[in-house]
Amino acid sequence: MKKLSVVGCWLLVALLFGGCKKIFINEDVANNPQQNFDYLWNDVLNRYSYLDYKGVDWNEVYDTLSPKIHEGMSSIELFNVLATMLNTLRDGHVNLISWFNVSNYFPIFLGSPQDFDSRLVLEHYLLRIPSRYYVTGGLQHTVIDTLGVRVGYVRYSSFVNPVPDYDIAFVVSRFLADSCDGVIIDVRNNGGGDVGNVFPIADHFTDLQRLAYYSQIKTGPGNNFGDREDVYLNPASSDVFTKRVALLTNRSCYSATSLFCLAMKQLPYVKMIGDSTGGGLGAPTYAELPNGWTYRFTVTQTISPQGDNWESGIPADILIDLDPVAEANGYDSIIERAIQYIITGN
Amino acid sequence: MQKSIPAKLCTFETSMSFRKSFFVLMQILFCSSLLHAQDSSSEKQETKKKKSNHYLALSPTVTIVHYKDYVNSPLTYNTTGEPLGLEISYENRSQNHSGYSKIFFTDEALTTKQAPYVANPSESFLTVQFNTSRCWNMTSLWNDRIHYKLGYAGSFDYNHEINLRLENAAYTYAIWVNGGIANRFEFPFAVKTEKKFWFIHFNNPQQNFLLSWQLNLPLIGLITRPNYAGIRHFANGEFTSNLFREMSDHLQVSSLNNFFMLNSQVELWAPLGNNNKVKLAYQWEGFSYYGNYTHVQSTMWSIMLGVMFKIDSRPEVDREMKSKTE
Repeated sequence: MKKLSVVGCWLLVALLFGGCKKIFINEDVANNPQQNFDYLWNDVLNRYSYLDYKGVDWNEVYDTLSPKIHEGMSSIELFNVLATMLNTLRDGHVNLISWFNVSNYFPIFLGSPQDFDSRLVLEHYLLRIPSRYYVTGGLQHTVIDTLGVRVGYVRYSSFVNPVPDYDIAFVVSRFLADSCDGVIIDVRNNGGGDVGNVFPIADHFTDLQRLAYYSQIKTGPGNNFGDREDVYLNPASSDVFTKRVALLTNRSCYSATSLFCLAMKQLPYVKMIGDSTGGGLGAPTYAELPNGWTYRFTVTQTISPQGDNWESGIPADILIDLDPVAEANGYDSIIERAIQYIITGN
Repeated sequence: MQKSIPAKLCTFETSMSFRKSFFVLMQILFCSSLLHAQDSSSEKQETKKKKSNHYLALSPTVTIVHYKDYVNSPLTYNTTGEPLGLEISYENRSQNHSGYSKIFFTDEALTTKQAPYVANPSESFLTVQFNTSRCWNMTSLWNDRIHYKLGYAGSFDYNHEINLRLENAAYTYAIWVNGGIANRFEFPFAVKTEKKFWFIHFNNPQQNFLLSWQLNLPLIGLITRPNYAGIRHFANGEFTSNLFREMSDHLQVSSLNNFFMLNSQVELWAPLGNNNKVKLAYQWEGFSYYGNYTHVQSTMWSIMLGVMFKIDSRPEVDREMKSKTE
């Protein structure tokens, strides 16, 4: 009996010393409208990387929107207030995600000309000679004979589509084999995706190692950023095209597409033609609110080798919009301008 | 107005006071045992050269995890499915020491209390641990019935969460290696089995059991956690090289001021045929790390039932231990 009591005491002591969750884990933040609002506001204050750059008075945002929070408000009402708060950041990388809605900041490209007609490109360029039209993975490409020159044209519609090295190597080797005088890379309407696809493509147009951009990550509240991380273009081991390259862009180019444009812009024989990109050079993170909704916002800054912060859009070298008259006649004025650059170098 | 108090940086005075209490307790145990150690040092010398028994144990476990990683969520994630794990241990034990080396892993599905209301799917959680410890006799309590042993414990832990809803921040980790003190209490006892018990006839008139409780307190180590922003740095789109670079860049020394952990294990060893044993264990572990915005907190409960295969039978050690028990 004594032994059983001892065993019992031991188990009790062991449980006492080793069974309390509260010793190690803090209580969850209360799930009510005010706590959710405060949590989101604080996290953006501490970790969003462009408050200063965008000149957003975050305290004023709190003072304006906090009175709209009250106990008993519906989920939809709360969502609308939080989404309004996030949209004051004017950032396409910022979203609030609930089970019934996703907030977006759209005006980045809605206020600009579209500058891209996919039907026009397909009918009058890619299918100009149907036998030349290839689809290699996520890349659509052809070779256009015009005005006495041969131009390689490659369309990449989304950085979500993976581009293995053998795909882009095939495209570039085709252009080299066809003795193209220049290449048009059309990334208009490419809203971004995986940054891992940027350099497999860009390296096949790189003559020598060059600094593409540098990036800095938030390391603490306020304007604290870590050391700059330099990112380089390196020539691909084979099939490198280093003649004139025209990069076609519009305001719908965003995120990974902007990083691609920023990298390509460092090559002296590359010209960005069309409209400036939509920006979105900073990388986003995701987090969760006390009520289980998630949100996304930018936590890094990407700067050009020359020190430019083009988070709101990388300017085109040759600014030109799609001409509706030319469009009606089957011409894409931006592609035509690109061909002119390849012919003349201007 | 709450805005002056970052909601994410929750206060943790309660945890701090508990930590200090535990630490003080450990110090008392440590100091008192050192005093007794001098008395038992001569005994240690005598038994120093005696060999120990070695066991290889396989123990399936049922494990419940609570995990809160402030990098991407203020919510506690709790086991919701697949609560199974496995511990493989190599244990050695002699008259004057007990030791083990263990590998434990569990891969579970975790979710939050809010998840059912907002249709959030579960996330996956993996922990892989390597622990080693050795404790030596320090003193005996309660007329030599309970043996207190003191020694060291070292561990390497890899923990990760993968929450695909959080895309760029889906993968968070807490990886550490640390060392500290181990306190072990052993209570060997015997049960008479001369008579038939229910329908079982025992060959031996007495069955020897061992009940033990070991409490490990890591004191110092190294830990790595994700960056403040909570993402892998995607500057050049490469994954593996960036991940390993960040893991090494963010390596920090951890000590009781920013990392507090306890590991408690209650074990009952019961005899099995051919000098093997069966092990029933209840393990509990908790840790809190207070990094710069990268706090992580967890507790884990495991119940284990395993078989300990004796891999080097030394009857003389058994006889000595048995006689000491009696």
